[in-house]
Amino acid sequence: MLTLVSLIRQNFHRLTAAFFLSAAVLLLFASRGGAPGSGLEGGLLDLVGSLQNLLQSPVVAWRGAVARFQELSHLDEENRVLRAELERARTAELQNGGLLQENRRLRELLAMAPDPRYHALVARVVGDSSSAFSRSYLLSSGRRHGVLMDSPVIVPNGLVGRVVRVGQGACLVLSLQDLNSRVPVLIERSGVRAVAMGTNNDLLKLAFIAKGDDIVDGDQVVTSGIGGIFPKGLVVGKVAMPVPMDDSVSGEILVRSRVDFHRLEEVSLLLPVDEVPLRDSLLELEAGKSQTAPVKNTGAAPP
Amino acid sequence: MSGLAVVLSLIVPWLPAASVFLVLVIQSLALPSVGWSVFRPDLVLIVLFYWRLFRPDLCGVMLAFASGLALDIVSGLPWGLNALTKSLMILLVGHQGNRLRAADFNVLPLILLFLALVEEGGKWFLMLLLQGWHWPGIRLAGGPLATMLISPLLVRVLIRLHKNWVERR
Repeated sequence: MLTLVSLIRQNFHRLTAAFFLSAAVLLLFASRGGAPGSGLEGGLLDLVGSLQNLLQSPVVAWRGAVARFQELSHLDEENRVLRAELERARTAELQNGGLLQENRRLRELLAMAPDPRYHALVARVVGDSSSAFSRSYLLSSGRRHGVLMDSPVIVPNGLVGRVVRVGQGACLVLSLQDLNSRVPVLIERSGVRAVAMGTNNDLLKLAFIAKGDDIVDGDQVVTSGIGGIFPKGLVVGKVAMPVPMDDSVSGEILVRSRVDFHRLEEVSLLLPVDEVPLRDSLLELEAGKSQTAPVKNTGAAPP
Repeated sequence: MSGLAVVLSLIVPWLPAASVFLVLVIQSLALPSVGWSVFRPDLVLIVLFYWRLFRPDLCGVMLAFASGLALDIVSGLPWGLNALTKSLMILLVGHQGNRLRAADFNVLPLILLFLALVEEGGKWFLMLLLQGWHWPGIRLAGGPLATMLISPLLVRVLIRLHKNWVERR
């Protein structure tokens, strides 16, 4: 027995090696049909998995930080793109809103009752040259579009004024409110005739009112057609705040136009139908005509 | 003897085994892509080789068997395959210890390449006998080559661990 123990002690390393090699071979052959499942396998896998998680945690954290950074940088880029798109969408929305309003205004213009003696030419207001001493507008239509001197300018709410200067591609419109504007009018209800004079403010003044004329507050004032420049029946405005007249002096009656002169964008120019075929020949004479034509009672062009 | 010295004296004998299992985990983490797995280095072999060469008293056949078995379990190979080949490698290194220790440091990677090739060949032969594996061709050399290339780095780490911790006591 003692000999065996001493023999084992002397050959311990060899025996250990032989034991483990034999164990390995046995395991190898035992596992031919598949690895034998046991608690050892699960425990070792759990241990290795835990260690892997531990070792991977800095890597995972780093990857997460990198991914987060990339995500943030992408977000920044995406945010910039979205902001640009939003800005474009807002601009488009504003344009669409403007187009809708323009469409509505143009539809209203087209829906106006046509006068058989005139045809309408729609023009855009491109400039407002009004000042403390004048009220006039620049339109985008001129001689080549058929615009003539003294052409009436209207909007759906009423009369705006008349053309006082014509260029090739633009014309100047004298507003009703201009101090030099004179428009023959009549009170629609009573038929009283008068002249609407501009005052360089929002109200017009009715002149040449006879004593005792039937005019009340709110009466509609329209063009009378006298003078041949403005066709009859164009709305000028409504009587506002009539001042009581005494027996000796003609009173002062004010008229408030229904046109919003501060927001004019598109207007219609009324061009005589019978003059359209002669337009080309008239164009040549227009300059002379503007000087020699009778002034009638419509007032003079602005200085 | 201070308390720290006592603790160190208890821990240090297990440092080689701990390092073996640490690199086992790292090895299973390295190159997770299947396409590159043929170049997975055998870090366990390097660590076993080092400790068996320079501290054979702390690295015996039992550690090789245990680490090989753990590798088999983790890698899904038949149980005993790595356990057997790693044990054989340890025995071979132990048998040629004096000669290998006399070798230059720069030759160690070539020795490890040889050992890794032998081990891979042995594993393939065993699997050929057991499961009729086909000859993997040049892919068999991928792991050994990676083992050779990474061995200088890992050996330097092991030398530092060896000098600063294991030999300190």
